[in-house]
Order: sequence, then C-alpha cells, then structure tokens
Amino acid sequence: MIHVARQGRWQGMGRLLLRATARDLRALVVPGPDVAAASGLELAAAGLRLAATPRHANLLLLVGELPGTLGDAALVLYAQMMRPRVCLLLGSAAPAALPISARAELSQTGLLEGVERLRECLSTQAYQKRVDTFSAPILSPSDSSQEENSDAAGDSGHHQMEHGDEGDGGMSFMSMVKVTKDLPRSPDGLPMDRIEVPFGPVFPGLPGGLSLTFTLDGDSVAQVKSETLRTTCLRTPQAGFLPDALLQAVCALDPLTPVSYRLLALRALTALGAPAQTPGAHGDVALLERERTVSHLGWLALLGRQIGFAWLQRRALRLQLACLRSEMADFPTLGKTLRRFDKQVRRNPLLRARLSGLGVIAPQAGLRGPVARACGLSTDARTGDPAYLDLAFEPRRGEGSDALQRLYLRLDELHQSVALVAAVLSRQRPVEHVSPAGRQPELSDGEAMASVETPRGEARLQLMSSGGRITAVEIDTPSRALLGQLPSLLRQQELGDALTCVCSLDLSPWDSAT
Amino acid sequence: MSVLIIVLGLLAGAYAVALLEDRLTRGSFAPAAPLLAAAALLARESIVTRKPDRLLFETAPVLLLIAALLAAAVLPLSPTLIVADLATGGLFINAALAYVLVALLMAGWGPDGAYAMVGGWRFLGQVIAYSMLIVMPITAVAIRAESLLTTAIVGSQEGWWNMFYQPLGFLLFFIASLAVCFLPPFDRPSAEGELAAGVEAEYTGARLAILRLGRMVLVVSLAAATSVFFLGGWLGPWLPPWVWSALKVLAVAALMLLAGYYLPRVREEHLLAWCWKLGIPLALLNIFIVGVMVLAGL
Repeated sequence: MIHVARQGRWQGMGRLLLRATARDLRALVVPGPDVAAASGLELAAAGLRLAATPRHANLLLLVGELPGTLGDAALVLYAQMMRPRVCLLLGSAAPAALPISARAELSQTGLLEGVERLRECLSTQAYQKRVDTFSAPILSPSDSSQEENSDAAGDSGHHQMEHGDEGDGGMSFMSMVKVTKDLPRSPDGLPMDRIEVPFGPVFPGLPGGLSLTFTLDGDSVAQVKSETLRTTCLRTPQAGFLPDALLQAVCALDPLTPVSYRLLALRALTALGAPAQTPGAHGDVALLERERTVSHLGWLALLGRQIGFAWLQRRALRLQLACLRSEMADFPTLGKTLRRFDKQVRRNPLLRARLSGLGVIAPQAGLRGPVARACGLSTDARTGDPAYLDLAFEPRRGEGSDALQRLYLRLDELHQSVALVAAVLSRQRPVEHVSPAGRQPELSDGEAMASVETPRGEARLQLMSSGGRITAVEIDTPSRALLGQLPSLLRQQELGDALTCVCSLDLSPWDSAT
Repeated sequence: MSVLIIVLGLLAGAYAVALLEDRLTRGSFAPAAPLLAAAALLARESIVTRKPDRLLFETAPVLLLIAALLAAAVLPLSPTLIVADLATGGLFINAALAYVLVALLMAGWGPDGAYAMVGGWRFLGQVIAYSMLIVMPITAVAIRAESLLTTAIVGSQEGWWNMFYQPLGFLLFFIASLAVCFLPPFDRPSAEGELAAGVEAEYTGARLAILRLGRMVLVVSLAAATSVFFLGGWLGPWLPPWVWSALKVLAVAALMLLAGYYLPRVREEHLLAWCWKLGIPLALLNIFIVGVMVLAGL
C-alpha cells in the first residue's frame, strides 16, 4: 500500500491513507510523558496517543531541554520509528542530525499548533516518491545502512542464547547436558540462559531518562546496572557562576520539580547575602506543597501505566493537570476530589495485592523523603522550617516498608499538602510565582548551605562565593542514595515486580544525575 | 452464507471492541478512529527484525486470527446461523483456543527481541494458570445440556440461563476468558509498562494490524462463547434471535474491557496461586453442584 501511495496510483485510496496517517498520531515522548505532564502538556487533548515502543510510533515529541545522553537516545529512537514519521520539538534544542518537522513553544498552545502543522505536513508529504533516509553519527555505519532492519532490543533476543555447534553435525540428538554445562546456575540450581535487556532511557514503565539494564535469568533479575542522565548544568565555569546564572542552572536541574530547586537556590543565595526573592516563608510553603501534590499525582500516573491500571493512570493525570493549572487561591478546592480519589485507590483489592510485600526496604540512615517516611522514619527537612512549624506541621509516617506503604504515604501527603496550602491561604495571600531577579545581587564572600524538602526528599545545596561569584557548588539530591539500593532490592525479583519496585521509589533520573 | 455472515459479524464485533477500547484509553468517542488506525497501520512500513525466525514471525499473526475464527465457528448466533454444529463443539473450542498459545509463543520467539520473547513465555505461564478454568466450566455446562453440541447447550438454558444456574462457573469462565484474550488485568504477555508491548513490540505495519485484529476477534469469540454457554445465546423475547446474540456478545465484550480498565495487572505468582488453589477447587465444586442439581431434576 505504501508503494501504491508513493506512486500516486489509486488516488482515492491514497487520500484515505494520507488522512488516516495524519489523524493517527502515536507519540514517543522524550524524555517521557512524566516530564510532558509536569510541564502542563495534555497530550490526549491534542489528539496524541502514547506509543509503547518506537516501532509503534510515528511522532517523536521532544519536550524541554535534553541532556546529551537523551539527545543521542532521541536519534536512535527516531531511526527505529517506522516511516512516515515526524518530529515535533517543544522549546528545546534538538540534536543537529534530527530532522525536525515542526517547532513550537513549550506550552499546551504550542503543542496544539505544532500538532496541527504536523498533520498538514503528513497529509501532504507523507508519501513522496523519494524515501527519506536518516543517518546520524551515533548510529554506526552498519546500523544506519540497515536502518529498516534494525532491532529495537538490539541483540538481546534469543540469538544471544545460541550455544554454537555442539559437534553433533546439527542434525543429531541435542544433548541438554552438553548445551547447559557451561551456563551459570540460578539460585534453584537450574542452568538458565541469561540475557541482558535494556529498559530506558525512554521506557513506558519508568521515569523518562532513567536507564536500567537487567541481566535476566529466565524472567528473574540477576543483575542490575543503572545509568542516569549526565546533566552538565551545574558544572562550574572557570570564572564561577553569577547569581542569576546559578539560579537558572539549578532550576534546569530537574524539570519534574522546578519550583523546589528554584527555592533551594534562592535560599542558598539569600544565605550568602543576596536580597530575598522568595514570596515569604508561608508563600514558600504554598508553592512547595502545590508542587508536592503535582509530583505525587504524576508518580501515581506513572505507577498506573507501569502496572497496567488504566483508570489510575488517567485519573491521576487529569488531577495532576487540574492542580498545575489551578490558581493558588482555588487549589484547596481540589481537596474534596482528591479525597474521593484516595478512597477509590485504597478500596482496590487487586492493587493492594499487587504492591503488598514488594520492594521492602529496611529503615536505615541515608534514606530520605517518602521512602524513608513510609518505613516509619521521621526524616523530613520541613520539621526544621519555622514556617512549617508555625502551621503545626508533623510529617506523615508509614508502618511498613513495601511499595504499598509508599503508595499510602504519598496519598496521605496529598491531603496534608492541600491542608497546608489552605492554612497558608487563611493567613496570607501568597505570591503566585517567585519574583524574577532584577539586577545581579551582590554576594558576600564565604560559604552557605540551604535545604528544601522536595517531593522526593531533602535536597541540599552548598555554595562557596568569592568576589561576587559562586566558585563552588555542591548539591546533594534525594534520588542518588536510592539508586544505589537498586541492585540489592531487585535481585531475583520477577521482571514485572522489579519494575514496580523501581517505580515505587519515585526516582528522578534528573536529580540523581547531579 | 452462514460463514460469510458469521465472519462479517465477527469483524463488526471487533470494530465495536476497538471503539470501546479507544473510548476507555482516550476518553473520547470517535467512531472512525479504529478505521483510521487500521488504515494508518497498513500504510506504515512493515519491517522484519535483523535475525528473525522468519516462518514463526510471519505465521504468528495469521495463526492468532485463525485460532480466533475457528473458536467462533462452532458458536451459534441463532438456531440455524452457525458455521459447523459439531457434536463435539464444546471440545472444539478448547482445541481452537490451544492455538492461541502456539501463536503467541511464535510471536514471542519469531522476531528475536527480548521483550517479545519474555512476553511469549509469559503467556505459556498464563496458560498453565487458566486452562483448567476454561475446560471445567464448559464441562459443567455440558453436564446440564447432556451434550457438547453448542446449540443443545443454548437449548438447555430455556428455563434458567447458566449464569444463574451455575454462577460460579460463569464467574470462573469469564475470568479465564480475560486471560485467554490477554486482556487487562491479565495482559502480562503484551504489558506496556513492563515489556513495551511484549509480543506486539516487534511487529509493525500490516503484520501488527493482523495481530491486533486477531486479538479483537479473539475477544469477540470469547464473548460469544460466554454468551452461548452462560447467557442463553440467542434466547430472549421479542427481538430476533441473532439480535439477542449480538447484544449479549457486545455486552460481555464491554464487560471484559471494563473489568480490565478498573484493575491493575495481576502478578504471575498470584495468578498461578489463585487459579490453582482457589479457582480449580471452585470449578470442581461447581461441577459437583451441577451434577447434584441435574440428578435432582432441577
């Protein structure tokens, strides 16, 4: 049919194909749908469907700034997509080799405009007589020449398992003893083939950007290798950072929680003598708690996608967008909807069975955020914040340490955050956004440290300044410690359970990369 | 003529299933969406992976479709509208459904991709869990009808539909049907969040279109089987028999999709444990109860 369309024969059929191709857009989002949702994009409203694999996608959607590793991943993904294919860039700088079909600003309006342009482009140019070829430096010459025959999973299929010629001439009886004699033994004593399978950096059940490689022993995980994004935004220039440049760099650190990191940078700069630019102590609380709600709902949507719970995915996504788009004054009105949602989630017996007993982490030093609190630890930077103490804040704590408790804790924190925002609003009207800096603030020489309880746990920023510039930056983020736990946590877990464990930790590949 | 009508009916049913699935996943109702999606798939490149087992890779989608069509061949839409009214109709369905396993194993192994391969093996594990729960409720249904003829099974429900006569069997068969069709919460072989579409991951273009069509037709066939075995098939007042059949099939298919929408994917160990430790004893109890009721002349 493609051939027919390209030759311009069967014009009626050709028109139908063009129309169908332009209407049926399956998007592969880079870094991931979680970043798109955190940026306020509603893909479904633009008529886009999420594709699970590049094989099923015809639109590569690039959202925000892409670190180098993700840019390379985007090139590989594009090469794996079937033609006709298009690429939409929303507010970021794309790898030079990628043929961008449309560009737009990073907003819902931009998305709608971009999709409209893509549709026009597809409905006129999808089936040209000349086939577009694509090559990029990241693709080896052999890969690019065999673009149409490339394999999404690389060489991780059963051909990896072949045991070569056993010397029986190929046609005689295949001795299982011979075939399995050199294979590693599983814990149950069975010799099993092992394959290395990549998951990420763009995988439907994982946060966008997180890249895991599992060595599978059957369908159990024998080994785990993890790789996060290699962001370079905090690499200190030789002359040091100017305060505004530092602020921008820290904000760009994690697109999933930009407000938290902005406040972190502002607090550190204020400690170095810069004039305060935050909306005030209680205003900070409101901004942080709204972001916590948005982040937890985003996590629930990702969990829904990972465990195949469509209702949870859709409902959480809708609530996340509602929270993101609501005015601060209206935010507490979402409390009732969130309570109803919470009840529905907790009532689901299969969800309890799915998460119970999975990913048990013993309470230990070094854990932070909801993972620590679900274990019963009261690790929370907010307990030392006078503004929170003024609001009679007490951290929520769980009674277990598995994935289910982490779910319950985050649900509890949703209500707590809404209540905190309501309490702030009853005292003052917070500034909606952190005010932008005017002229460069002057800094005193010395060292300063600040911390913020982000939705994933406490983040700490240490700055050293000299001559009005930041000469050294050290940041300690919550996901890093958890990433180190993965090998022991996932060993011998069934593949699906292992991915659910990872998802339950709510890792951010952005902040764990720093 | 019956063959043509049944095939067209299955295709219409598959279209309705696709529409409903689209409604559940996107939240909007677009009547032309499945047609556009199918046309777009046919117009997209269809590639072969680098080191496939070509025969298995090419055959699997077609075999899935054939298995689904064969299962429907012995299911009547009305007393006369049936492709083959076999004396062993109840058994024949099981035999046809066995090829679903073969098709999915082939689809898993054929492309030489890790996600697909794990998906294929996962379905094998799933079959071990659900297969008895397909066979045993059909046994109880046949006991009441004293026949394996599917038309006789419908005829035996003139008084009470089997859904009310043997609710336990209905429940078990319905759950097992979801597992046969690898629909959520039993979509382990094609899990998006775990295997990036699993057995479907390496299929593209026309091959993917056939694979997806096969799955939709399978859903319709299993819904038709549920209707024939437990909902009285074509039986019903006022409307023509085929209309009753169509309505019941669509209602069961909608229920199958809705159940998956509100439930998370089941873990493998739970699936096996629940099916063998709970499902099979309950299916045996169902056979015993039906046997006693038949002996008592109820």
